[in-house]
Amino acid sequence: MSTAVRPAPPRTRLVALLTSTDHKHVGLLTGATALIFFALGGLLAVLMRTELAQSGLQVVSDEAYNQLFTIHGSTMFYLFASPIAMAFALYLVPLQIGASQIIWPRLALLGFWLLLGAGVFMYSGFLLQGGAGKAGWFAFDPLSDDVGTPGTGQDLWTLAVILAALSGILQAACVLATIVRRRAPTMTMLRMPVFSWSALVSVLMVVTSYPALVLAMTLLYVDRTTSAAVYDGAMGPIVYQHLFWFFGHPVVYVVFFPFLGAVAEAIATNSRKRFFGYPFMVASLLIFAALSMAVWGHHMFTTSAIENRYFALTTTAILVVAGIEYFDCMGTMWRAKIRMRSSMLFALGFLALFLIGGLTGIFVASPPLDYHVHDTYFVVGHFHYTLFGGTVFGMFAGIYHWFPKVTGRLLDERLGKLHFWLMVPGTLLTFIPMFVLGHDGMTRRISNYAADRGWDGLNTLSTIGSYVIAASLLVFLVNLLRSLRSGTVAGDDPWDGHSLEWATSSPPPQHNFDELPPVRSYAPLMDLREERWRS
Amino acid sequence: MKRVVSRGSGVVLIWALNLTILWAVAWAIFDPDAMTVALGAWMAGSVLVWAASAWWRERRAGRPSDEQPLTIVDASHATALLAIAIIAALLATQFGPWLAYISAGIALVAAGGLVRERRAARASLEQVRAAGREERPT
Ligand code: HEM
Repeated sequence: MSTAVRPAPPRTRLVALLTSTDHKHVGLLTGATALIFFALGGLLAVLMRTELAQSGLQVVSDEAYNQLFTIHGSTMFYLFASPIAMAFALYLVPLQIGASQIIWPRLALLGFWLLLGAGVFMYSGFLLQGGAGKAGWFAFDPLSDDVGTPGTGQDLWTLAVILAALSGILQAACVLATIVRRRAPTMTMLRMPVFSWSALVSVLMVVTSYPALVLAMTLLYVDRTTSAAVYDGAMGPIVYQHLFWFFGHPVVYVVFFPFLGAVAEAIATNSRKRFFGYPFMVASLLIFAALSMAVWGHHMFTTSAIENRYFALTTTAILVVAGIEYFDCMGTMWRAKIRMRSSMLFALGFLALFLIGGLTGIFVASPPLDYHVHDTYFVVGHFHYTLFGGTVFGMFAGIYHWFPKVTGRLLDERLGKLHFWLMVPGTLLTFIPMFVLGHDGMTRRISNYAADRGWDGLNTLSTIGSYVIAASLLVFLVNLLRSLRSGTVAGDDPWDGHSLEWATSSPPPQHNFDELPPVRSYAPLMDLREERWRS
Repeated sequence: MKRVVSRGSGVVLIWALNLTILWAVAWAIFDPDAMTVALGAWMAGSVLVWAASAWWRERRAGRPSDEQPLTIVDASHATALLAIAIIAALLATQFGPWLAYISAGIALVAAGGLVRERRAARASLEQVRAAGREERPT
């Protein structure tokens, strides 16, 4: 007897997807939403760069420019980078640890919906008369209070940040609980793949640091909308900064670690070797994450309200553990027969470009040098190398690596390489000039500069670079759409993967695995292959 | 050490100890301001308490194995409704109490939905038990 399966009508399918508690669906929804916000945030960035291309241009008003950098930075952190990190974790961690589903799936779904609400709140500000939020992504008080930045747009921005933070906490809690309580019986912690470890330290940081953001923003909202002057008084702004940066620095690593994990997986798979120095990597991830919970004060060096020596010390110590992670990645590639696929190219791009962010970080970790470049384009260049070079390149390494698992189809390699070879020069061209401009005294958050400063040339270069990045992203979009429609069928394990997700079908079934292979190390599929060769 | 790291709650404990050491260094060697001390103490203290309780629970109950079949929750309309209620409640602080009433109504429906989903999960568990198999709701 044959059974005819009638596909559900599209509307029902959409509702089913939007209410699905399958971790893979929630991960996909969260990821797709984050990517849409990445595109919107990128559009705002290109607008900003167009405004700054030459002195004297007035593409947008000064007022609009304030909204652009605020919503660009806020989108990139709250609506793109942090959610895409959670999306990767939600989709992949249960598969990698051999779990059939996550713990608290409803909370994960709730997290997705709150993220959607956050995005709508933040962007609906543009439709209001007073415009969207315009006090910067960190909204320092008193600039962000109802006198400094009056208007519903800033109120909505504050609510949006609360929602986005809650969304992150909920989803992180699900991933954390799943790792602690739902690993396959033989999957001990020290057999978890590197990506799952990186996701684990990330979610540990989220649940520890994001509540401070919820508190800071709730108090700000109360301050703005009632007569309770929460942040008034001499120490009010310092208290706000403490609360904000207690979240604001860890978040930089929350959006870094999962992609370091993705890069590690791409490097090991493309090098056809086990990841080198696994125990050191695990230890360094844990120490790195703890250290990065104790460096928030380096954003406050110039306030003179904190103990600079302590925060300079912890910040500099980070370099040591970061060095271990680089060393392990290099060790994995050492004498390997590397397959230069798009995922590998993006992984290498990540290592090279994040290094620029890390090395310039040494400058700003030192208080005397930081006093010189504080609030200049040097800092803008530095953090874009960590966020764009790190998060975005790492994300693409992950997308090219896991796309076949998620969709069952391969992305086109030629278009992938074109994407990479446009994005690297674009990134260098956009952000390298910022170091020179910042050193020369170009302060950030300005929509214009005097023609006699001699900054036009470098600014024009930077703007051209941003167009090249935009072009590279268009190539990716074409690749994505084409591959989804008619990409080559991938099969279950197109790369000879190492971890459990490659042992199930592509895309995986709802319960993830029909049968789990034995887990004896952090690369169980490699173990199986080696056993087969031996016998 | 290897035994501690091999357990999920052990890792949370190590994380808590790392944070405690960092806080202690700040407090004992340097001269931090009150907020730095307070935030550090909150960070280390809360994670320590949570790690200790996870460790204790895991010791007592053992880690649930994934071998038992699970009731897979595949959809939850009530969760989406709950999110809409939360979003509406926040908006009510801007646009007036009328929205708060609507939000409360949606929250009520959502709560009812969640109870129904829970009951359905329990009923299916009973069915499985009756069929001689064991199943655990999530
Ligand atoms: C297409 C690539 C990008 C370009 C061309 C770009 C450009 C810019 C520019 C011109 C500013 C204004 C700097 C200022 O005046 O202070 C800015 C700010 C910022 N960008 Fe980007 N950006 C890009 C991607 C990203 C990404 C991927 C992230 C994060 C994941 C990010 C995060 C931020 C943040 C946090 C700010 C600070 C906003 C503020 O001052 O409140 N950007 N970006």
